[in-house]
This record gives sequence, C-alpha cells and structure tokens, in this order.
Amino acid sequence: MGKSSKDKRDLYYRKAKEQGYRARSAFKLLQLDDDFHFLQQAVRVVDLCAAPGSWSQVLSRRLFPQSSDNSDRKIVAVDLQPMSPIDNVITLQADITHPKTLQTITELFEGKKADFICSDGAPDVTGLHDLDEYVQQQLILSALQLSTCLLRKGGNFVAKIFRGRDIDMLYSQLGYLFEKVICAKPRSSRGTSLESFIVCLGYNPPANWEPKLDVNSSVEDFFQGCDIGKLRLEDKCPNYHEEPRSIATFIACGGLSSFDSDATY
Amino acid sequence: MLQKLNHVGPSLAVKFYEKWCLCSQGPFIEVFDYSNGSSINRCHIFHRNKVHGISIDKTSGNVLVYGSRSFSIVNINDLFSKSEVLDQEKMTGEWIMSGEFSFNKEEIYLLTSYNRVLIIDPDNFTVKSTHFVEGERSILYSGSIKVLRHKVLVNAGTIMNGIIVWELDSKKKIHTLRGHEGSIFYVTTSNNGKLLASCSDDRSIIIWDMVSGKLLSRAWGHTARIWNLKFFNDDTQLISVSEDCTCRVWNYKNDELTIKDIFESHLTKNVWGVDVEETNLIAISGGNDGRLKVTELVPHNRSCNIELSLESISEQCDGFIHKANEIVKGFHWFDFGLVLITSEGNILEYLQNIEEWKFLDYDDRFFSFSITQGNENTIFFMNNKCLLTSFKFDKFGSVLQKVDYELELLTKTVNCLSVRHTAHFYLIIESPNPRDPLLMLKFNHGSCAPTERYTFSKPENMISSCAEVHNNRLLVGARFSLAFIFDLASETKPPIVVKTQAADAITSINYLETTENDALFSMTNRDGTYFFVAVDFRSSVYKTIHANKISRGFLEGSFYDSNDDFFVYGFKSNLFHIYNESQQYEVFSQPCGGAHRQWKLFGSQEQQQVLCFVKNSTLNITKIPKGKYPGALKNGTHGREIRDISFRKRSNYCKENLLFITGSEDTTVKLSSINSETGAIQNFWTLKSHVSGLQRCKFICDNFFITCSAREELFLWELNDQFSHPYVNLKQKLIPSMNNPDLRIMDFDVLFLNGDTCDFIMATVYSDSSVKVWHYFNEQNSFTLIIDGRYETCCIWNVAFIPLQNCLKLLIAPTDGHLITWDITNSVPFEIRNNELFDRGLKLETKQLQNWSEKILVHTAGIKSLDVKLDKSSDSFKVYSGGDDNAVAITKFTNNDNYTMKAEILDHDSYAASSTVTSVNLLDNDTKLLATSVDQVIRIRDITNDKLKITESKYTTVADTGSSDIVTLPNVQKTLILIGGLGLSCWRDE
Ligand SMILES: C[S@@+](CC[C@H](N)C(=O)[O-])C[C@H]1O[C@@H](n2cnc3c(N)ncnc32)[C@H](O)[C@@H]1O
Repeated sequence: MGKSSKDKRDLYYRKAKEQGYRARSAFKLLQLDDDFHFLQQAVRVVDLCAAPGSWSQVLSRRLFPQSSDNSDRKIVAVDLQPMSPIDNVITLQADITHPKTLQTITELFEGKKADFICSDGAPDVTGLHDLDEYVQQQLILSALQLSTCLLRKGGNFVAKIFRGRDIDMLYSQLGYLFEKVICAKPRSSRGTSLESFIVCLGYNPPANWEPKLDVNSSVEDFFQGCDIGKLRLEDKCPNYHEEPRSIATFIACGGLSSFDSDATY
Repeated sequence: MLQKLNHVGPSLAVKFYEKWCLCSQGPFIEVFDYSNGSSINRCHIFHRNKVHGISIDKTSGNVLVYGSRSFSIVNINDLFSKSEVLDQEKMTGEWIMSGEFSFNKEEIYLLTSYNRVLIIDPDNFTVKSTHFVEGERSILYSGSIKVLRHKVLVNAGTIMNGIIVWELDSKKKIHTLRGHEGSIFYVTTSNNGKLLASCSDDRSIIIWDMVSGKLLSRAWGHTARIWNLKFFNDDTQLISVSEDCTCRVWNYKNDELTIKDIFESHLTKNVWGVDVEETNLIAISGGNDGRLKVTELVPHNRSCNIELSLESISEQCDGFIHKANEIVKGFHWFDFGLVLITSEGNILEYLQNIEEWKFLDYDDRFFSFSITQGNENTIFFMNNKCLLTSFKFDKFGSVLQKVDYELELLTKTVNCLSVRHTAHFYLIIESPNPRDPLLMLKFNHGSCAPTERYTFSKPENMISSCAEVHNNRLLVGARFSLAFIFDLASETKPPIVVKTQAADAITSINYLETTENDALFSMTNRDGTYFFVAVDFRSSVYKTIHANKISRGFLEGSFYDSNDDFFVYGFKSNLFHIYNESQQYEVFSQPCGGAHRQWKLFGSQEQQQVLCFVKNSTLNITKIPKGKYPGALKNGTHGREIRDISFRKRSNYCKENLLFITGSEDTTVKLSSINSETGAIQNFWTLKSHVSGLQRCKFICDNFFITCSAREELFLWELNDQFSHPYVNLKQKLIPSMNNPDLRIMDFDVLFLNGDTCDFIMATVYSDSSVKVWHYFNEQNSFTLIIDGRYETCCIWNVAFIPLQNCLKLLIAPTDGHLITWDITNSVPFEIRNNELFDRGLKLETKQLQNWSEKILVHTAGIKSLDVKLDKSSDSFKVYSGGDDNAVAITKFTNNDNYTMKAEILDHDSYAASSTVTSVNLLDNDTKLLATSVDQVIRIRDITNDKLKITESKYTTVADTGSSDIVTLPNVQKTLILIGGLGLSCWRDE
C-alpha cells in the first residue's frame, strides 16, 4: 500500500514563506477579515490555540502599525505548545479548557474588555469522529466562556469548527449570545477538509445573566446559568431528547477568484 | 419509506460475558457466541450516539452501556432478545469517559470529560451527588474508575498535566503522574489495585506503582498511538491495541514490561477496544474496519513445534553418526512421520507415534546433491546423475521396498517437481542440458515404479519451479513469470506459453474449476503477485482474469478453504505466514528466518498442515494449529473513509446478491456482494493497485469499472463472473502526463459508442483544472487523447457528458461553485444522433478544448456531487447538485440554438444540510433526490415540480458520510441504497 497523504505544499504554503508567516493558516484569518473586517476597529485581542503563531503575526502587524500610539493595544496568545516570541504579543503556554487559564488571561487585561477573540484550536485528532468533534466543540466553548467574561458588548468572536454531526447544536447555542452567527470558509482552507470558521458578530449576552469564572466549574457548569439551550444537569438524568439545532448561513471568503487550495500547482 | 438493512462500521467496545461476546457497532450492541461465531442478536441501544463502553454486573445481570453523553442500564437478557431498548437511553451534560457499578451495585458511577464523577441511583436515575477534585477541571482525553472493596479510585488522563489519580469519597488527589508527553489516551488500574498502566500521544506504555506513584517500567513498541490497555493473567500480562492496527501482549515481571507477542489484527487504521477471556486465553478486538477479531493468545498446539539438529538426532538414532559439515538436504512428511536425507546420503526416519528416530540407509550416490519428493507412503530421491531411488513404506513407516530407476533419457538432472492428481502421481524431471527433453513419469498411487513416461522438447527459456496436471495437460510454472502448458496426448506439440505480469518465478499452479470451455487455474508468483488464469484448451487461448498483489512479502502458494475464502502463504520478512486474502488477516505465522531456506508445507488445510523447515542447520517441524475459534466474528470493511461506491447495475450476481465496489482513502478498492434482502455483505477482493487514496470508482457497464486517484492514476478493470467467484483484472491504465504525485484525477464520465458496451469516450477532470477527453478502443485496449484543455486554475470535482439530441455537451463542476458547459460536438470525431454517439471511422487526433459556452454560479463553494437528468425529447437537461456550502440546487440548461444554451436555477436550498453535501442521487424514476451530508443525515426530496421538497430524513451512524449509490431492484420495485463514509450503511426505499 502506498502513501495516501497528499502533498501539502500548495501555493498558500509558498506565499506564507514569502511573507514571513509561520504557517499558511495566516491567510485564513486574512481572508475572513476581508469579508468581515473584524480587525479594523480591534485594539485589544486574544488569540487562543495560537501556536506556531501565524494568526498572532497577522494580529501583531495589524494592531501595531509602526507610527501610531500603541499604548492601549494588547494581544494575548495562548497555546498548549510553546511559541517563539512575536513582537507585541504576550504568549502563555496553557490548556484553555482549564478554568485557571481563563482567569490568567482575564487578569492580563487588567479590567479592560477585549474587542476580538479568536481560536484556531484543533485537538489531537484520534479518528473517533464523535469524540474529536466533541473535544473540538469544547475548545470552542472554552473560548466562548472567555469571551463572555472578556468581550465587550458588540465585540466579535471567531473560531475554527469542523462541520460534523452536531455542528448545528453549536450554531444554536452561539445564536443566544451574538447578533449574527455565520459559518465561513476561506478559500485557503481546503474544500476537501471539513474545516470552516464560525464568525460571531456583535456580542449580546442575555440581559439577566452575569457570567462568573470559577476555577472549580467546568465550561459546561459555567453555561448552566445562561439560557443558551444547553442541557442542564438537574438532580435527575433526563431521557434522550433532541436538543435545539439550527443551521448557520454559509459564506465562502476570500473571493472565488482567489487561489483554490484544492488545486494542484 | 427508508428501511435500514445493515450497518458496518467502527467497533469501539468489546466485552466477553460467559460464552458470549458483546460487541458495539455504532449505536448497536451485537451479541455473538464466540465459539462458533454465530450472531445471537443485535440490539439498538442509543438513538444517535455510538456505544463507547460496556460494563457488566454479573450478579444482577445489569449492563451499563455508555457513549458520548448517553448511557443506559439494560438487562443482559434484553441484549440477547430485543431489537431495541431506545426508551431506556438517558443523558448527561458532559461526555462520559467511563462508567462502573459501585461495589454493592446500588449505585453507578459515571466519570465525565471534565473530571467529575456523577453518582447515580440506577433505579430512578437521580444524581445522588457529584464529586470532583478542586482546581482540576480541565478536559480529559481518557479516564477510568476502579471500584475496590474499600475505596473507589479515579484515573483522569489530561492533555497537559499527566494523570490525576483521586479518591472518589474524599475527593482527594492521590497522585499527579507525570512522565508521558502529550495527551493521555488510556489509563487503567490492575485488577488488584496495585498498578496502573497508561499510554499517551508518545506511543509508550508506562506502569506506575499505585502506592508510591513511582514510574516502574516504560515500554515502547507500537508504531503509532495506543488506544486501549488491559491487565490479565493475575496482572502479570497486559494487552494493548493501537492505531498501528496491531494487538500486542506484554509480560510484566520484576518491575519490567517486555513484549511477548504481536498480532496484526485489523486494517488501516485503528484498533479501539479489546477484552481477554482468561480461561481460554483468547482476545477480542474491535477496529475502525468494523472487524471483530478473535485472537488466540496461546495457540493450543504451539507445543507441537519440534526443533532438532543433526547432532541431537544422531544422539537419538542408532547407526547414525553425523559428520561435522553434514546438513539436511531434503525431507517429506507422511502420516507416520518424517523421512529425511542428508548431504552425506544418510537416510533417516522419524516415527511420530513413538517419537523415535531410525536410521534407514546410507547411499553415497546422494552425496552433496539430492532432491526429495514424496507421495502417499513413498519417497523419491533424485541425484544429479540421472538416478531416481524410491522407498515404499507401510503405514507404520517400515520399509517395504526400495527401487532404483535410471533416467536414461537424460544426461544430467537438476530439478524434480511432483504433482498429485486424483488417481496418479507425477514426477517432472528437468535436465540442465537444453538438448535433453523434459521428462514426466506417471505413477499409480502407492506404486514406486512409473506406469507411463512422457517426453517434451524443452522450451529454451524454461527453468521450472512448480507444476500441475489437469485434463491431460501438464502445466509447468517457471522463472521469469512464465508458465508452459504441454499436451500429454501430443508430446511433440509445442507448449502454450503463458506470460503473467510479474517479476519473479511462478511458485504454484492449482487447478480450480471448469466452465463450458475454460479451465481456471490459480498461480502465485514469488514477487507477491497472484493470478487466476482461464485456459481454453481447444483453442489454446488463455486469459488472465484476475491479478492482485499482497501488501508485502513473497508468495509460495494459495488455496480456497471450505468457506470459499482465498488463502495465500509465503514469507514476510523472517516469518512464514498464511493469510486469509478474502478477509485480509493473517491466520498463522511462524518465525523461520526468511524465504531462502529449505522448507515445505505438507498436508491439507482440512486435515492437518505441517510446516517443515531448516533454520541454522536445525530441522523444525511445526504442526499448523487449526484455530479453535473463528478468526473473526465479523469481517467488516475498509478501515478508512469510503470515498466512492458503485453498484453493478444491470444484473444480479448469484440470486438476490448484487456486486458493488468501494474505493477508500486506504488506497484499496474492494469488490463485494450485498444481499438485497438482509444487507449482508461479503468481501471478495481487496485490490491494491492504487498507491494513493481513491477519489472515484464506478461501474461503467456490467463488465467494466474505472477507478481514479492522485498521481493521475486511472485504471480500467474487467470483471469476470463466469466462475464460482467473481474475478477482476486491471485491463488498462491511463498514462500520467507529468510526474506530480499530487495531481489528482477527480472524476470521470463515460459514453459508449455505437450503442454497444465496448468502445467508449471518457472525460477526465483534474485537480489542476485540466479537462481531457479520451477514446477507448477495446480491440486494441488503448486510450487516445482527443480533447485536451483547461478550465481556470481551480480544482474540478465533477464531470458529465450530455448527449443532447444531435450535439454533445460536456459539463463540469469545480471548486468555484459554477456549473460550466462546453459544446464539443465538433471537437470529437464522431457523429451524434438522437443522443447517441457513432463512430464513422474519422481520424483520431488531439484537439484543444475551446472556450466554455455557458457558466452559471450555483453554489458559493465547491460542488461536491451532481446527478443529471436528460430530457431526451425537449432539448434540455437538469443538473442536481450538492455543495460544500451546505446547499442543494436544481439547474436547468435549455438549448437556444445548436450551440448555446440558457442556464437557470430552478430551485436552491442554502440550508439543505448543516454541513457539506457530499453526494446526490436521483431516485425512483427521477422523481426524488437522495442527498447525503457530513451531518450524517440522509435526506430525500421530492423534485417532481422542480422544487426541492423534503419528504424524509434519516440519521445514519456512518461518520464522515461521503458517498452513496443506489440500484433499483427490478422484480420488487424497491431501491437499494448504500451510504459510505467511515463504514457502510445499507438501506431500502420501499
Ligand atoms: C491549527 S493550530 C493553530 C495555528 C495558529 N492559528 C497559527 O496560525 O499558527 C491548533 C493549535 O491548537 C492548540 N490546542 C489544542 N488544544 C488546546 C488546548 N486545550 N489549549 C490550548 N491550545 C490547544 C494546539 O496545540 C495547536 O497548536
């Protein structure tokens, strides 16, 4: 049996090298921003699951133009893996599903709010599709948890998703917290992969809910108080029932004329 | 209405219970009697979630089943009798990592993904309490609960912080075990609670001391990640299963973990679950391939391996004193035991009943060179000076007769082959002298003097390696992948020369069966290829109807067993092994030091096979154990995603069975049959010619199918169904245009010429935006490029020919979401009339693809799949498409004049699925559209009014749903549907 892996060195790989990005992923964020412009107004941002750091590089180049007054600006990047330093980026090596990590990040913002939070997180893929999808969604929920504590009203949130079996449950949950939820796929992300990005615009939490970080509560516990359609663990395990699902609008980003990452060059 | 018929997919949890085995398959548990492999019952446990774990309370007969966020407590009797227990499914808020009954069985414990244990009353499902360790609430990748008499221990495998061991009651952390790198994928406590075994992303296994928390031993071996571990045999052994498809047994002794056995049990890739039955020492494992493999950890007659040097034989054998350089030259195994000859010409006999060696003879004419053959109770020795000597024995091994026979027709002798044939036995003797004939002697069974003699003039390039006799013909296999067929009735007639496409010597030829004109033979080649060759003796024409290759190693022979499974045997690195090629697993292996040594396999598979070989001048006699248990309870399918499925549409294969092919990411194509009543699937062949993951595979008519993949691989295969098994042969390959391993042929379409099913034109589309059209001429078996061109720069996913009355359109669907058509009527050298293509003998030449004529944006991302409905009367066609943008659309193309068309979208559903729509098929005389998507929902839409109206949707447990095909069953007016992804699911629309 031969190799089944496909050569990953496409045009984006070469472009990333040319422009000094650590990974071709940089173009995913750039193409998403081309359509949604969430980086235009952003001053304080968090980049979760950031290693090796190409998104942080994009953020650093955007938020810290050479000439202007940068004193209010801040980028915090977090990953399990160590990251080599990037100008103007505070890096943290930690597990974002750990409540303590979220606490540390919040502290770094010294009481100020963030405008934009992104997560390009992908877990160790095991090959158990349902577990992989679950862990992926937990990474998103952890990022979302941080967002509820740190994002200003009207702020934006972007996270990597894999459109699998239960993605519509996640869409439904995000719908409770943001004005607009869109599933976007940049052209630099392969059409043959299930990867796409959830773009959540205009943070708008339920009025009666005060998010509270507690190092002893899991992400799931955290959202219990918030009415986002998640299963509540009452004192009795419920029977099986369908949970709310909804389909998000799909948008392809980067323009159909930009280079197609499935093409062979 | 869609009815579910069958499901084959990853098995994650397996558990022995008394004489049965409970095995998960998606949301089902199937119960098997492992002694004979029979399936007792299949019970649907969860609505959608897969069963990941099973825990049994033997006293009450309650079974705790969990998976994802679901769990259920089911009575064991229900698993044996009910088809579903769905109303018992309960839910929790978090993923369940592990579930156990409490020591007194009055509670159940569920460990969830955020390191919390729910203590639940199994009678009313109230959560009595929840326990966790303060400050340790990050996500887990694995975890287990160990219930001991006085305490309950929780092992939590984190992503970054190693293993956290805590005590349930006190919620106190006992250890944080650090030593692995990366996420912890499994952790388990030994039965006595003293040891802990763990594995992680780093592929090692660590044994920890539960009391001190110290690392006791660390072992490596698996070549990929390890998914499951289990202690057995009083905690002195450990079994592990891995992504590398093996199951390994480890010994744990004196604080040291060492490898004992490696079993290759599953197909690429991943083995998830394992359990051990300790009394009979058998293991069951479940993999991504859906196979439930039974492994006998101790083959019951491994002790029947005898190892002897000539030195030790001479100690046991009166009258035989071995010389310093003396070696074993030849041997034959009989029912009474073994007869051997040495390089000095000593002939010895081993009597197996009394376990004694006897010296028979010394014959210096066999000094240094001898060849041994045997039959019934007679052994033949031949030297290089044309002497043949035979010994005839009685059934106890006493010599009855010794006969010398001069081979006076030959000047020298180098090789002697033997063939057993119902009533006769043949010796085929070869001389190195090209002027000498090839000599064949015929013996009646039990006789040691030949009754007949045949001589053939020896073909020049023949160096013989094996032989077979059938229908008054002698078939000789030879070096350079040649075989020669001699006619016994006409010795002077030159032989038929059979050439097979392989590199080395033919190592075996076996006659299998005859139909009308053709006799079928199987052949193996040392280089790892095997063939099936049909010979028509009357016209002296032969045809290779099947060729395939084993994954690695050398082949020496093959046979069918009584279940019609095809087996091959040979050498793989330093092992001799027997492999079930139909089901793709090894049934026997014996370290023997490799291929280039003295060895022979005796006996028959039904009775007893005996392997004799010489290794390091030691004689080894191994009686091949006949498995006490079935090798597998279920055979499964590909271990990786199935990328395409295609039914052979027109005719049934054998009663209600239909043939179909599947092409997978694992680089193989499988030919299987499915029973249209039960959905039962049987695999015939796993074709290994592609070197990269498959893109597409399609039957283009009843006898041909085409497969394509990266490296510009496109293969045309021919199916032969005139024998008792279907056979397939790679008929032609498309020649790649460049040396780019990433250039993928994404799709193809075919249109037959002249209304028949032999010559056709074929369009291929590529990942570099190329579009090509070829002509296939069957008589010459050749492809000629007739149109060459390119769309833009994006990858093209689909292509279709559309013969529209008197013109020919070509339609493509690339990743840019458009449908694009060309009019290629004037670019092909054929006449197009009434939607058909005719060859008028015009010259074939390569034309450039002109500019496209129509282009319409239908999807906002790539179009994954399409189906076309041609309105033959009205100059128009409709395209049904599904895309990466989650949408399904209907687009209509109508002829304006002969060359331009009007394209319009009739309907478009942007919310057709919550994920990529991967496959669409027209159904029910084109009144319905079936669409499958990665959200694992199959949706059927009514399309009669050119509107997409959902009429039915069903959940499928096949993940990464990516392909489908349908076939209409002619007699019953029902449609059979196969959905592929990671596994296969089979439905009927009725
Ligand atoms: C696709 S990479 C991110 C690439 C990055 N955006 C860039 O442009 O360089 C995904 C990252 O997610 C990280 N990750 C996965 N699980 C995590 C967790 N629980 N906490 C923090 N990082 C995590 C992985 O370590 C990995 O570096």
